[in-house]
Amino acid sequence: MHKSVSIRRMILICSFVLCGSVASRGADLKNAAVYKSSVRQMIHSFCVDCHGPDSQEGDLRLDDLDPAFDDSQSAAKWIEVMDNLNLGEMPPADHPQPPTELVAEVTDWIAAELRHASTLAKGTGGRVLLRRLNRTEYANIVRDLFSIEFLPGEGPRDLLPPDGTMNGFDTVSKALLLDPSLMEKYFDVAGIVADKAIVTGPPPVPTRRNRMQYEDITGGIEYIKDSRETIVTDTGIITMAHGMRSDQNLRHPWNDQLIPIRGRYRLRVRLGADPKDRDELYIRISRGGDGDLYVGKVPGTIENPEVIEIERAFDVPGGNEIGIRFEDAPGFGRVNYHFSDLQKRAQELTDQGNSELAGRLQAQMGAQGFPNQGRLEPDSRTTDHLPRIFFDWIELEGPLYQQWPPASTQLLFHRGLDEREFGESYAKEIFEKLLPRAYRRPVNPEEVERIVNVVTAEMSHGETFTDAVKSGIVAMLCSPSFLLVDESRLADQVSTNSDSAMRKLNDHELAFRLSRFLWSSIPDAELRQAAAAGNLADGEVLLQQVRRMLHHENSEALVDGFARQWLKADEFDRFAIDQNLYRDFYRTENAGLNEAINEEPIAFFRELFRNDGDLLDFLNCDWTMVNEPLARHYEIEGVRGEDFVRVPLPETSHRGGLATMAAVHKWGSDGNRTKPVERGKYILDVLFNDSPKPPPPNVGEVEPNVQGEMLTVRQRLDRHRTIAACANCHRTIDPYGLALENFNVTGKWRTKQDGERPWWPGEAVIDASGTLPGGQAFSGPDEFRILLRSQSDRFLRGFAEKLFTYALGRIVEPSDHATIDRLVQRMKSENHSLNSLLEGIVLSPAFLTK
Amino acid sequence: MAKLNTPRIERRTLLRGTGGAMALPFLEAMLPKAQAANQANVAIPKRLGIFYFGTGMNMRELEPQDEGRDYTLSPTLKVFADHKQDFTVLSGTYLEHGGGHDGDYTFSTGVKAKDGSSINNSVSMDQIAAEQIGRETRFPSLQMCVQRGTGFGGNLRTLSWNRDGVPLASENDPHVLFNRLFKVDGPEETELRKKGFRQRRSILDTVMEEAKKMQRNVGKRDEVKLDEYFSSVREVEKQLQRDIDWNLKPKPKVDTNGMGDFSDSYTVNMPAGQFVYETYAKMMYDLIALAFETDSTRVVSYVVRQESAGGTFPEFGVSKGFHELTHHGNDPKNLAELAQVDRIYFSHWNHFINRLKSFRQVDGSSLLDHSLLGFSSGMGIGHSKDRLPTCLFGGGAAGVTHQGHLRLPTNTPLSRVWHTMLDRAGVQVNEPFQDSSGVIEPLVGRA
Repeated sequence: MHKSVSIRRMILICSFVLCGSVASRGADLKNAAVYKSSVRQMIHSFCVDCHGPDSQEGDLRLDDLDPAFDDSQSAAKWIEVMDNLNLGEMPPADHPQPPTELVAEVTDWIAAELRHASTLAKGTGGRVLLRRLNRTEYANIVRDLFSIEFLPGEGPRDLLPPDGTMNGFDTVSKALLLDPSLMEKYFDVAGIVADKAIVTGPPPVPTRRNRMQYEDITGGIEYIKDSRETIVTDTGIITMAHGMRSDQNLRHPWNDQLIPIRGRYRLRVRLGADPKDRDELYIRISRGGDGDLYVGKVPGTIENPEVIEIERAFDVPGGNEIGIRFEDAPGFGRVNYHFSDLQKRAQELTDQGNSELAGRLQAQMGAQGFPNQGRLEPDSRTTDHLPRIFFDWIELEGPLYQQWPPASTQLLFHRGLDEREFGESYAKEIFEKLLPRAYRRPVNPEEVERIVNVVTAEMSHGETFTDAVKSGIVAMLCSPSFLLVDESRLADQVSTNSDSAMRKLNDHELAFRLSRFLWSSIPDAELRQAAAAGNLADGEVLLQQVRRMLHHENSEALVDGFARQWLKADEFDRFAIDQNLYRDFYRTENAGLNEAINEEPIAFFRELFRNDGDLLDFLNCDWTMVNEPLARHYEIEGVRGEDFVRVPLPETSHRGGLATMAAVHKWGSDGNRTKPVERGKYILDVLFNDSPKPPPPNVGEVEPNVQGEMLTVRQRLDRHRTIAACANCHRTIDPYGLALENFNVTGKWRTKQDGERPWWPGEAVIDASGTLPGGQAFSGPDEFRILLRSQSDRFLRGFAEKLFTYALGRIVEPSDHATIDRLVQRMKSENHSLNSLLEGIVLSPAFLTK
Repeated sequence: MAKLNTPRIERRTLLRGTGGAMALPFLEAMLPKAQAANQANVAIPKRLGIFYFGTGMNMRELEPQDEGRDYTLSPTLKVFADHKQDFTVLSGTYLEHGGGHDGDYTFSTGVKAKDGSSINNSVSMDQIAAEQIGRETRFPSLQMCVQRGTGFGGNLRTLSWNRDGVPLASENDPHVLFNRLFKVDGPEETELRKKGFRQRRSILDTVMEEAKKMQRNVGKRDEVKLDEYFSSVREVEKQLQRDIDWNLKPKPKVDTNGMGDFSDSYTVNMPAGQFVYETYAKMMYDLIALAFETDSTRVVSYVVRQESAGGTFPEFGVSKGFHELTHHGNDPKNLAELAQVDRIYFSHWNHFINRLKSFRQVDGSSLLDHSLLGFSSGMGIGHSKDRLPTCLFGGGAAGVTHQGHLRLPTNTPLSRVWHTMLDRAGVQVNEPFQDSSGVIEPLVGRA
């Protein structure tokens, strides 16, 4: 109703002012009323003198500019108008200036129309389009289809190129291009999959376990026993410096190499620590060419050593030894505790900004003749006080095979590998079993025959049966029925090219849509059976399947697929934290901290998902997920180990919810300093699906302090914001980022400015207060978190839109409004749980139809 | 069986008939002997290369102060002193849709390819060249990058886009590139290759049949995506046919004396400590020179440094990643380190130019004189879309008149440089070409 009136008005206006063709353009506007009133008012009152019928400065004429945002020429001109107004460059300073509210209205309108036009262009008319599998789906399907696991770097996930994304997700049809180079890759990868799935003959290298008992070492590294830094005991060796190594006893006799063949190996070391006056001792286990295998604490004690176990893939090139370094070991004979105490104290003072006293201590160190570390120190004449590590043994086992021949080969060749069975009819049986699973639907005899023809053709060229079956598998994996998600096949097989009517998916299509959404893979036996029974679309049956599938380990795909993309987890490391400004971050005991920071939001999502928690906890709550390094970073006591656990957050922590997680602070920093505007953008996009419009070009960033100035990031940003044109946009973004100024680049709590320079004066205190665009004021992150949670409707809506996009592989369109409404209602009635939303999406007509 | 094969043979015969028959006369002409015999009257082919240095450069140290042929080399450009007559610094170039971190998407095509997360690109300038001057060589064009693949959706690893706006994947390993270009197969490999050809052909036929079946049931909107599948398979078929044809022709022999070791894989993904970027950069540049010299290809695109990602290496002796440095915040240390990195990259480029100059042609000119090489970035300094670090090298024998430091009008589209290069390489373009208003006249001897 409203729309038709505005269109009629538009036509009326247009017939007065513009040519007829514009009228049809105007009909596509999101908000024609603003165009009619404010935009035209702006142009006629402030622009036409220079950009009108009489004069077209810069070749730009605005009085007859079409509001046609789907036309790139017109759109480009509107963008120019928006940018120049935003930058305050137009109208020129010596001309009459429009009121700020009018500028805001016009620039907001242009931005909204641009977004609207882009939505229309990206839209699919509310339909799910045919698309190819994305990389994750391909990898998971191959895993489930053949029961194979690939070594890192060898499987489809590593060999296929990353996928394009649209609106943040790699499931959207329009972003999933298929090009010749990818097709070429599909052929190569299919060959690799077939080779991995079909393995005949004995294992090339037998599995073997080699152990070195340290008290028994002879030969190459026996010199270690004689060193002053080591003590040989009955059961091992204690070292007070350096570390330990492996020797030739760990090599595999097959070819006298540590790693005889590329494969999976298990490395185990039994050791214990006596840290003396230190809290913990740290080691770094590595193999030349492989980098670090382990960096972390020494477990156990000298009396009760413990085992570190590392199971992973190794390749042949690389060192023939395992090295274990004692991190921050007392450089034997050069220990100088007095010196290191002084140095530590000076650093603390520097951190606190007390450069005067710090300088005095540094001078004292110089005067006492400790210009730097590394003087010989009589301290080590006695060694009783030195920290030490006990090494019992080291062991390497491999290459490890789950079973031989691999499960995949046994599954494929269900009648075994007896040559008398080989032939066309066996091939037919193999693909009759395999194709329906690979194509996710029943197949007809013709389709089986096509693949079997490939097999028989290869055999007629003299290939062995098993190799010929591999070619059949390659053909299958490159076929459109495998690579494309095809929901175009009508249930009754009647050919039609009509796009008009939406139709219900058949049960096989629905089963695959379901397994794609929840598992990023193919249906398992149980789901296939339900589809074959023909009542999967029944609400109760469907819900029962959803609940079953969410409890299956494959539903981790929602965490890896949806959550990681939603939270922008792959961007947490987009800027490295400055090593000089944040030295603590790189200390040995913080090994694994960066990874832990990146993992927290994911672990938080998983916790909510697995325990049917309240999604509003993303806005604010009193708990989070940490492991030991992260707990130390957050100053939370009592967490041990690398595994993430749920902990209550004390009042004093100031944390709770996504906005207070260090990963977000890191994302919204450039490694040197915080970037409040970026942090604001993150909150608006991720929590509310409402990303702000892009800045005008060449606006630059917050400038560094000029000589002598000591302004905080906020003070410098405020300068920028006093320009009225800038303030307009920034007032809607910045409060969401400035509220987090108490969290520094690494996500650590601070009350004083840090970053950019070695120290800041006492008056550079953090001000994290602000006012949200709606007028609610807050004094800092604690009140801010409460205000975030008060915007729960906005969050639920944004979150539902994101998951809906991921599930259906298309963007949310205006016609989906009612669907999203219902999803939000459903979440509200079920304690805002993720499961309620997952179920709601599956039950929605949009999910059940094509 | 026989019955099923019938339609296959028909289609295949047709394909062979057209593709093969058309290609062979060209192939004949390309044989080294034939070339040698016709030395006098065969024109030396023109080569073309575009190069991308992601995330801009420190223009404060790069842009010369004065203009003209007799300009003073800026601190960053000093390394090119020996070649001052063989290149032009082009100030004032601009990417309408560049700046930020999306400049790699528009660099070679001139269109706003990336809009938020939606990507629609058009054909890149090097592929227009490949269509016309690349048909007669073993490889119509080569795509190179410090990382393998296309990087589609993220920071690009290629500059090449085909007519359908599809990115073409790059290779990053000089070992793989060398084998592709020059390695002669032994009898066993030839047998394996033949087997591979046969298998692939049989599989291509099968999947194509399948796709045709599918097409009957597909609605109009879906057909677009199915067409992507069809055209990809067809392209793979064509490539297979090319491979089969070229497989019969011997590969050129090359002398790699004084170059790196191409016998093993050498990429940035090797464990730290084993990889030295300088060695790698020179190997990649030497390969381009060899590919040009042997006329294995005439068109190259090379992402020397990816947008945003990577860019510095331990041996550079700088304190941060390249992207971190470009957020220099006017800190003198950052700016000095940026310029230092620029000079390092330019020293490798200088090696490339020296190498091209060392290849003498029959008429006494150098390979550089027949090569049109343009480099720039997706941004200038401070993530700007103007002040791009743009230079044009070589092409003396193709009618390029170098101008030393040429200051173009503010915001001159980068496509005008591409336009000029294509023009000099003898490639016909439809006008308007990208957002270019025409060739840069002083460079083509018109002022």
